Amino acid sequence: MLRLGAPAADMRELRSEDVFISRLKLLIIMSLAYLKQYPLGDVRKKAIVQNTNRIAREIVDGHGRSPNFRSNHEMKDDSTYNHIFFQRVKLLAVMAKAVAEDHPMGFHRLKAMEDNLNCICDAIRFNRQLWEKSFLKVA
Amino acid sequence: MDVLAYSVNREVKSFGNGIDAWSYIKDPESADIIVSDVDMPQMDGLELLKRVKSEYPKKICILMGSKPAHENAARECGADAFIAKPFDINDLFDVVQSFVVEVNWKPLDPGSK
Repeated sequence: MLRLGAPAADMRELRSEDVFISRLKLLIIMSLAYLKQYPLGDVRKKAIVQNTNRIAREIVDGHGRSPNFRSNHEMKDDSTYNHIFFQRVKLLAVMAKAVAEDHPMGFHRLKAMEDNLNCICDAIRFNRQLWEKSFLKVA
Repeated sequence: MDVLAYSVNREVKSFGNGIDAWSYIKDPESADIIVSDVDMPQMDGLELLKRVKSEYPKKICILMGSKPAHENAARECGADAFIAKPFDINDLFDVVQSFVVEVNWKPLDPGSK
């Protein structure tokens, strides 16, 4: 039996911030995969729209932040940057949804998406190797 | 669910309780891989796992749980994988990598699940 996830001593129920972080990582992977021109069919477009809707809703419902979420900058008590971080996440959700809905994406929009991604990844210490998965190449 | 749909690039069905899931799975052509939480209303994930493995041993069953006891029970019931909560998104990708990408998987139709 394949065993994944938390060590036995650290097992517990998922919290809202666990789900938020997972959804954010998925959003980053979806966006990076698009920028790298991996295949994007109807199923993946639907998953992008659902994920971006959930992320945007959680940020709105959480008054601009996910409860108990800690970005690197928040740990430094930089609440202003933390607010900007969540606005960047929200912007990325809008950008990804636009991709999934086939809105036009020119050079400047792609550049803005990449810059936004880089800022978000810097704040959450995202492992950039994570998205280098072979399933992304499956159409 | 969005993680799995995106990474597998196939339709993923979800159900709110074990009974509804079992009703769907009873169709041999319904699904090849079943992912279930241990804690499910009406019929828990372990009971679902037992029924699936009894009737359709070739179907892959993956259980998720939040207690070490869940892991032991899943192993005894024949689960193919156990995901301990809390898990990282990478763990779900590893599941896809192990059971969809790396296995000798027959090509799937775009409409398959």
